Amino acid sequence: MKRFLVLLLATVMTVASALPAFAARPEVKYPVTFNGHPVTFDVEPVNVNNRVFVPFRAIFEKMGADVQWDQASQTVTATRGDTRVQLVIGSTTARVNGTARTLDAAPFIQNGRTLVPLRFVSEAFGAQVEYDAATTAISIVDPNWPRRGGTLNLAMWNKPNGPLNPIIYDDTYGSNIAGLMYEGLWKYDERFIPVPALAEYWEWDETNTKLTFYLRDAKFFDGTPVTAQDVVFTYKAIWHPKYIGPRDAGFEDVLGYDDYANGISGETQANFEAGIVTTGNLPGLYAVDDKTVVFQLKQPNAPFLFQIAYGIIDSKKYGSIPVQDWGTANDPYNIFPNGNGPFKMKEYVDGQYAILEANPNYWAGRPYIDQVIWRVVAAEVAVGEMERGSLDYVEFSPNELEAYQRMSHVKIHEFADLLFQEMVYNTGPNAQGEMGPTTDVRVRQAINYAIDRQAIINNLMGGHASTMYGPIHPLTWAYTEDVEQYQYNPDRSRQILEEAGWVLGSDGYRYKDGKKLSLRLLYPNVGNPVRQATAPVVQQWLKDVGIEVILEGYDWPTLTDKRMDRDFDMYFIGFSLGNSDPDPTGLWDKAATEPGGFNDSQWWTEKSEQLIAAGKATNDLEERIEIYQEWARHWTEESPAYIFYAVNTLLAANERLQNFKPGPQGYLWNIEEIWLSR
Amino acid sequence: MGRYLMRRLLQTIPILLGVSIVVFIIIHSAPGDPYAYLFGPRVDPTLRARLMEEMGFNDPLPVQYIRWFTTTISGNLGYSIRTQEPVIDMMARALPRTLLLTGSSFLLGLAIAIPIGVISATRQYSLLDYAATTFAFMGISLPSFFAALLAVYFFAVKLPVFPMNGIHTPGGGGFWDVLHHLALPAITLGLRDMASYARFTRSSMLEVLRQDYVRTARAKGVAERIVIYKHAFRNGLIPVITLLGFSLPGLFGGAVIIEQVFTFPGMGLLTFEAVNNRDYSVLMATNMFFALLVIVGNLIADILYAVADPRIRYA
Repeated sequence: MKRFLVLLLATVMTVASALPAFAARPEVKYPVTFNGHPVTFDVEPVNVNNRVFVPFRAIFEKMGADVQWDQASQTVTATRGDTRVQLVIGSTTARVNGTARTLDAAPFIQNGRTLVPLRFVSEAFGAQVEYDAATTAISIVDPNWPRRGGTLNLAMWNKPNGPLNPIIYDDTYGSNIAGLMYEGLWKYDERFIPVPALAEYWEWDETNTKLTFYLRDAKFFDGTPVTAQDVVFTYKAIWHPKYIGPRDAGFEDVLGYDDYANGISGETQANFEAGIVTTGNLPGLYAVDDKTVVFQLKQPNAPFLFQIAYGIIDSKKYGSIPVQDWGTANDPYNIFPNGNGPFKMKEYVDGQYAILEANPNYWAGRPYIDQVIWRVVAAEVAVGEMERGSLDYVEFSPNELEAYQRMSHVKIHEFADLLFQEMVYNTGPNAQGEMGPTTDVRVRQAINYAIDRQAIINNLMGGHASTMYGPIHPLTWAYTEDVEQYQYNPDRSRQILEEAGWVLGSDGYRYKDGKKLSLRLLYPNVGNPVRQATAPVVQQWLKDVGIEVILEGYDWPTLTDKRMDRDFDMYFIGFSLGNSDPDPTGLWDKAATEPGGFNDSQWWTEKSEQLIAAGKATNDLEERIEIYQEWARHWTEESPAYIFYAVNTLLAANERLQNFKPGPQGYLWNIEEIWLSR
Repeated sequence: MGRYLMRRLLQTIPILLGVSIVVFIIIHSAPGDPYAYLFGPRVDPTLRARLMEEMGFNDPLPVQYIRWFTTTISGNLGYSIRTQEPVIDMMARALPRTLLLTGSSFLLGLAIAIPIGVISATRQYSLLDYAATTFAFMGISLPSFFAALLAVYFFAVKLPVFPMNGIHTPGGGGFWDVLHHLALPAITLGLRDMASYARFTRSSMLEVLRQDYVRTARAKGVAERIVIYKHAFRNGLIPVITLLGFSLPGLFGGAVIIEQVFTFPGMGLLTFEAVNNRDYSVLMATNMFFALLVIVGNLIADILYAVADPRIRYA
């Protein structure tokens, strides 16, 4: 796993240097599609003697062929089924199943990639190639590859909460279903970086405050085009004063956002009161024409791009429905929306299942799979369903690993997810207005040293977790291990406590001014059993250094209440980073310490505020990496929280799933490419 | 009988009223609130406060109770806080499914348990009696969720003859398909009652068979079959019949767990999800339904008692 992680990190690091490039307009001379799905090449196709050449690995892998490269003879061999195609660099003779064929132009090497003639290799495998002279677009259709059709059977442990609208849903299952029905301006690719989706490309202006998206010709299910007005409409809905939902965060920098969000301007007073959203432009969000939309910010804000991936909603359908009703029983389009994603809802039985069918007009081509069925299944029987083959993949916990390893038709995927487990310290006044012991940074550091992180990973998580030193996720480009790691050291912990004035009493606990060092640790006593098991372990470790820990287990609503009231010394929580940008705004900035914000540790410093601001002010990646690493060092020194580990996701998948590439960006991010071998 | 029924029905009113007050207090004194989920974490606190005020969340509990009471009495069960759906619609969807599940498991339980009980009483200490007793103890002591998981493991995974969960095949349906899906949940839900009915029938039959009138009947030379099924059976059934009414609430209670395992979205799942979400209006409605069930169950037991035993007459 460690090696895998390093490998993944390496990929992330290499793409990181390429990050700013996605802002520019793509110079694609010959857009290629395979069975209707766009193909991207790392070296663009080249025209030689009226023959288009493409990098061989990308095209052969798309066609499902095994590729071999023989350095000595400079030969590329691609095999699929009974067909074997051989090409030699610099030679106009190619062989198909041993029979020699003559090429108009020989394969050659460009920018370190071997390029081969597109039409020849496609036709050798029985595919048809069409060239559109007007648009220079090339379409390959392979009737034999891959297998089309079939149903993907998936499970949800409980029914979705209700809203399937991309700006309203508030649970995983709503997200899963909405994610298939709606597309955003961009989406993540295999490397976990944003790539164009409904927007064909985007660009920042030279001041880093104006972000322009250029939409492609995508359509809603009913055939009407997705327009810039729909984009304006979608984001205005999130900002509308009547909007009740979890997406209205991080937009403060948009010009005119405040006036709109407070119901001052941007909509008629009647509309503000009724909850009606219109497509009218705002100073900071406007349609230039039907296909161009601009976000104008007050100040540079590099992470802003990551705020705007929400699915785009049809303004014609939703224009007459008050925004507070979206996603509720009063919303006629909630379950059967006029969306624009790869799948549309076919049948929905509340509490039972959702059947989605492929959208033939999806902009990136019709998915290979015909149907996706999400069924509500009790988690206890998931192993049985997988064994029976009636589910295609499930997430599982390490204690079920053996059961899945025994199944010959199941393949296991493991990767570090964005979710991490942490213990948050109260660094400010508690519910009674008192400054508890954890407001002293030395106490926090002492506790950190008393905890054996590796033991938790090894013993409680069975090794299925990744270390995460500091507040930046290991899979994002700003991660560094060059921070105070707080390796397990109880002696150091005791020493720090002594220095802080907490002296050992006769009962084994520490006292200061007659007050016992006693801390209340809150943890959720529902869900995640490992997290529950961690609480008594931490209690024991802290007892070893003289700290009394009172464990208080609560259900979610209670815990949320207590957190909001600052009624804790420490609490456990799992936290998922929303995206791959390391900007901690909303988690660890001063504004987030306000009631309702996520920073209920109440920690902030001038230095941290400055670094967070600096990180947003530039689009230069090297600069941003340096800033966030400095911030991570500062954060770990201050330790407003202790991070146990980043959770590894374990996924068992039926081996019939092909092109299935689950990762922190999602499991079905490439749904149109996934196909079933049987 | 008519007057008695009338009196009993009138008695249910203060009982339900009392229950509703207690349930209302318990639900509302549980920590947390449904709105913690409803609002995003970044919803402006003043907006949140205003909406909570509009929803009447800040009113004193008695005021909230009276509001609930007056709307409920007018036939309006309110709206789910979570989905804004009318609670009556949610219950209308869930109740028939639960009735189907509990009804079929109830009938199945009776159909199997009573013959077993009678046979093991008439052939006391036979191999069949021991087998039935063993089965009954297993049935009583096996927690229903475990029985459900075992059933799934053996009859849906190892020997995949039954579907694992759901009411019907996605996109499908039809009578046989529903029946096919109903088999495992109905059997596992009925198992416990099946076992206790069998035990009750056995011991009550044993007692009756020792009675003088049975001996008299035998002495008269009445055929053994008629002695057992005409003379003893009707009297032996009396305690079992009272049990039926009492087991009604238990059956629905068991459905909460069984519906969870088999993803059978009836009243049980509805209640379970409402608890998790602190969906007050749904919780009140389902709890009142369960309270009503207990009362009706008792009433049925009393009525059945009178029907089965001619000595008992209510006036």
